[in-house]
Amino acid sequence: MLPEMTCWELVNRLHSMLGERHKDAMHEGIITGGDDDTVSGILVANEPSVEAIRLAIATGKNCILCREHPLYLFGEYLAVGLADALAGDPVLKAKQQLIEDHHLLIIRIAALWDTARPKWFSSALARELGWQPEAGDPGDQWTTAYCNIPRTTLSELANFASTRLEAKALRMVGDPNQSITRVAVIHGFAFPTLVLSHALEDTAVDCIVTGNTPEVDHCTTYIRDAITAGRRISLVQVGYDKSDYPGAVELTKWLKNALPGMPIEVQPPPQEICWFA
Amino acid sequence: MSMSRRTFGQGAGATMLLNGGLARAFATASDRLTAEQVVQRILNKVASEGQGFKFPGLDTDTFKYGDPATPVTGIVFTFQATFEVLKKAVQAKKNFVITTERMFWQQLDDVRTLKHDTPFEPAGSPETEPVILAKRQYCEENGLVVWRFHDHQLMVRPDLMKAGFGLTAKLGWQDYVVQVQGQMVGIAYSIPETTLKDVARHVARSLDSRDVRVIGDPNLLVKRVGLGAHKLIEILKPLQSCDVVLMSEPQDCDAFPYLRDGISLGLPHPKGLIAITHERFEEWVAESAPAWLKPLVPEVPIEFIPAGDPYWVLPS
Repeated sequence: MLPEMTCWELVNRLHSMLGERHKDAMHEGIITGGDDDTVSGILVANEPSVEAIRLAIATGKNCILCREHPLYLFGEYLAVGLADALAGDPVLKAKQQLIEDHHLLIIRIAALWDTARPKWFSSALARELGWQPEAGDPGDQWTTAYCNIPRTTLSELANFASTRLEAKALRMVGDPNQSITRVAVIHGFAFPTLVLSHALEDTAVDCIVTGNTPEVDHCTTYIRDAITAGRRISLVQVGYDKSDYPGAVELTKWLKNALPGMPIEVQPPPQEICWFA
Repeated sequence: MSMSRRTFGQGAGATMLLNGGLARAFATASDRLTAEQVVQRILNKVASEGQGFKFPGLDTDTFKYGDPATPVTGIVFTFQATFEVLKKAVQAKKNFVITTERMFWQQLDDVRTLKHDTPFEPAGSPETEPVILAKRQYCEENGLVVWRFHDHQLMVRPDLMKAGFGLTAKLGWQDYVVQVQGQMVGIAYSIPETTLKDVARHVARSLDSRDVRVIGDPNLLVKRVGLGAHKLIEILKPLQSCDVVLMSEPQDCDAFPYLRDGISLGLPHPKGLIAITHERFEEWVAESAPAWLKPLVPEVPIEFIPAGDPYWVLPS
């Protein structure tokens, strides 16, 4: 018999286990559905895509726990003005209709999770790559996970990550022959530049592996300049989705322990959305 | 030891004395014309010809580094004053760099130097960050002046917008331009029907870019290509009116999920996206700038130095 739990009770339960979310978090919590709706099962999907929604419906789960926003409101500067611009948008309307037709609950917990467990998604990515992330100091809120790895080159590391993550659209900055022994792993969107400059404060770090970075005004140029300044460093972007997926798998295991009896599963790895020309 | 802007300037002054030969070499081409005089000529042209004139309330277009009173030995136009571009400017014996995009990153673009009296390196200040410090120190030691020419460039060179930032000529699509209303970039391309795969490969070849990312069915037939930049909000309209949008520096977490959903839903639009780097989208503005500036500043040599495509990718 399923544990009886409403959407509101689920969110409270998450908060009781994880604490409060960051005070500046935007567009988080219960995004769609009613507080009193009973949760029939949970699909963990970083991106609550149409594909994920269809899977939840097909597997009898009425709740999606996600990192991203179903209506594309990522937060911070990217979301400024977007809600208004999307009013009447055909994609948004069709997706909202699908969600409403199936009474889906969508709960976003990105900042809540990262505030409580700042290194878990980065550490999960590191583990997926076969590396052992170092334990952070108590109170360390940086998301970066640091790993010593067997000596390799940037080119070898990129090929290895491509195979291991089944990702083809990797983008690299740096000398392909550069030697690497210590990696800073940062899941998702490595932003702002301060995140990268903080990683470089560890003078042994010679590579940053992340999902994606802003280019000209921020992080990619920063790494280019660091290289020109003489820092032995490189950047590997494995793709936003690919970098976050191992975290969703670990989150699902944690959730199953926390909510025994509740049907919970993680979305299969999403297909890489991009291909190179 | 904390260091103020003034003491940093004094240190830099000592370095410049040591490097006096280099400074003198820089001063030979034009003893009189200063960086701020060059900027004034540009802004005068903006004032007389430009649309949407903003000066003197400059937002982005300020001196980012160096003393504006520095005599100019030569001008480098670039898309972005990366550290590498600055080094190439020094090698080319040109001490005034005009950049379309930021010199530093994020909110740290306006650090300037020399003229500031307030301490600029308190403990923990981002300005003590080693990469910033190295870049600034290099400018000091080599007497470089950097000015950003972003907002005003598009006002005084409205042809740039019509030409898709110079992209049209690079793509060889001059005959395919159609005007559009109410969009960030006021043109689209009506091209002979081609598959998405072939259009994307044409873009990659024309722009000499290795990391052109594509979303959509490779066999999608494309007749109309829209333009947009960076954020989902800026490509919504062309996505609804074109078969594919050629986009600069997208964020994976913003535009990509929208495209994924649109395609999953099987709606008529959106159908596809071609994502290129910011450099490959807009660098052509700076490339064509020396020819535009030469009549205005005939006294000194002017050249374009590319910032280049930052990424490399694995072979397919």
